[in-house]
Amino acid sequence: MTPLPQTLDQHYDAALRKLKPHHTILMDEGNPISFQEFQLSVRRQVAALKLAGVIPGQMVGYSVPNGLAAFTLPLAISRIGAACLPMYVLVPDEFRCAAFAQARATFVVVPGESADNFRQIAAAKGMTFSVLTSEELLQADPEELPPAISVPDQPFLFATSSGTTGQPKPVFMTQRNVASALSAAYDLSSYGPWRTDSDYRAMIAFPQSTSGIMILLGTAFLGVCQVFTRSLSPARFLEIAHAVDAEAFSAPPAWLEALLSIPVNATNRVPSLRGVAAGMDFVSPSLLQRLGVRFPAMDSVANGYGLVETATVFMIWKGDGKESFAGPTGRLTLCEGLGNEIRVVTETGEDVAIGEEGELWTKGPSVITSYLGNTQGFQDGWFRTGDYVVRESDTTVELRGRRKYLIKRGGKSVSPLVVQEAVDRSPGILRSAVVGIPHALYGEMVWAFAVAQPGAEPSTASVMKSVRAELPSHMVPDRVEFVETIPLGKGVGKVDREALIAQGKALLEKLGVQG
Amino acid sequence: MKQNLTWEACRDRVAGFLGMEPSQISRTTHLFNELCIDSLGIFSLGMHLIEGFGVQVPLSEVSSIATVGDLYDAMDRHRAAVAP
Repeated sequence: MTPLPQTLDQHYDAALRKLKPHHTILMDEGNPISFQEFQLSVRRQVAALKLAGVIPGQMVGYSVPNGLAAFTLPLAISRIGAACLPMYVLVPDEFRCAAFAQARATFVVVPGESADNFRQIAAAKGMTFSVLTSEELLQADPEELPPAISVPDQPFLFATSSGTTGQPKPVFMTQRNVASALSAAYDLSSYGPWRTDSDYRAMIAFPQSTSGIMILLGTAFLGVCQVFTRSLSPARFLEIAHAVDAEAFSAPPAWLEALLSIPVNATNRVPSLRGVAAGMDFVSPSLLQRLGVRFPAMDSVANGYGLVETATVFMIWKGDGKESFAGPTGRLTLCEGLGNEIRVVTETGEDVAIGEEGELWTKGPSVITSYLGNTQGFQDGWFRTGDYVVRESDTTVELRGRRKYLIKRGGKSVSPLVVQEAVDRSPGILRSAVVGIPHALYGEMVWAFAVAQPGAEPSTASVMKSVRAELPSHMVPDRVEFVETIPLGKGVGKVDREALIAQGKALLEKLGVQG
Repeated sequence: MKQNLTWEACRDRVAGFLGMEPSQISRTTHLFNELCIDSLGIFSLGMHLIEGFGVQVPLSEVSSIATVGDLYDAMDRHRAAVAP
């Protein structure tokens, strides 16, 4: 068995050996980009960065729109032996400048139209980075690709994690961490409908998110043609997917939910879709079953699990066949071949038996070994994920949710995911979210916020009847609140729990039963 | 709009909260043994009834409630405290 690449450069070198120059590696708004063009972009950016004075070990921040330049830039930075901090273009300029300065970026790459403003902010705030434009990087004369100099333990990708405490913590992924994340794409691409040729087109949402970069580069280097749009519109996403006959989507659950809200027409049906790779959040059976109806040929799904501290995906659930969409969707298995390990432990750090619950700990090539200047959350080389799981084997667990989201009701822990799945299965329910509402008597009450299917009229009675047949009494919701929509947070659109908790508190106050 | 508190209305609302048919519930139906409501579930049911009838039962009386009939009687005693 060939050893997996240990650096991003090794991944790229493997792709250079494998892929033909005319191979379509990406499609930008439906327009094909050959691997030859991709290589040329890397070589131009390497030349321009070196000409600007970037040297090994320096930090290069960048913030450019979805496009070829954005996807080749991390490869060029890696080839020089430098490190990078990618940031979304939608973040305000002042905030991006502050983040680049905090990460001690020596150079920052932004589109030409933003460059002057970045320079002015930097000058006014005493920031010392130099501003380069993404356009000038692509105008440089290409030079031969230099030999790789990055080593596996070298810090490479700077990111921020909310971690287990909710406090943002800076994370520096090493080359090994990033290489491991790209290798996770091997596992993703080795089952179901995924094929590694450019006739196989996968549509990717948020290609510049940390996990998006890993999936895009990892699968593209295997030969999958990754298709993206510069727009952040779900409607546009579907139109492009339809036009290129996309066979797979890579997107977080909230994005998939948004796709389902778009009325079907002749230009967005995407009858070719066969598989979905989700991630960044729990994917519910309700969502998968509705996707299966919307896209009749869809018969497989993968949900990647990971955190910034694990360089995104290191465990995965694979569902093969529409019957698998009914779940359980939180059954996660370590990605094959990466060399990561897991433990499921009690609060005192002892391993639990098979079938028992505990916190998921992990270590291995995907996992960082500390935060910058802070080892909180790490113990004896293991990273404590803060997620509660049931141990099924040495490599498989059943996800119960974030430790901080577990509902403490009268001294018993309730997994909101388990309750949510049961509520979602109730007749007439489109989707739901379950949170703990603080209450003096209960500790926390179990509240389900549910959205009805169009035309259906579910009631508290119908949900309770269904849920009571599945769950023990302490897990049955204390209240089912019907809402028009589930509020979503910023970013990839995870459920806005704080908004739901505020809604619950307000209702308790109105009823005069705060406890 | 609050409902008038009657035994039938109370029974129907309890059944609704539990996802049961009203015919499955009588005054002697035991909350813990037959309906499998845990101690905190009584308060959740109580909240559902407050919303329906606007009648609150003091916490001190809840411990003496064992059947659906007990629950109705306790609410009936306190309905006078509710503003029309």
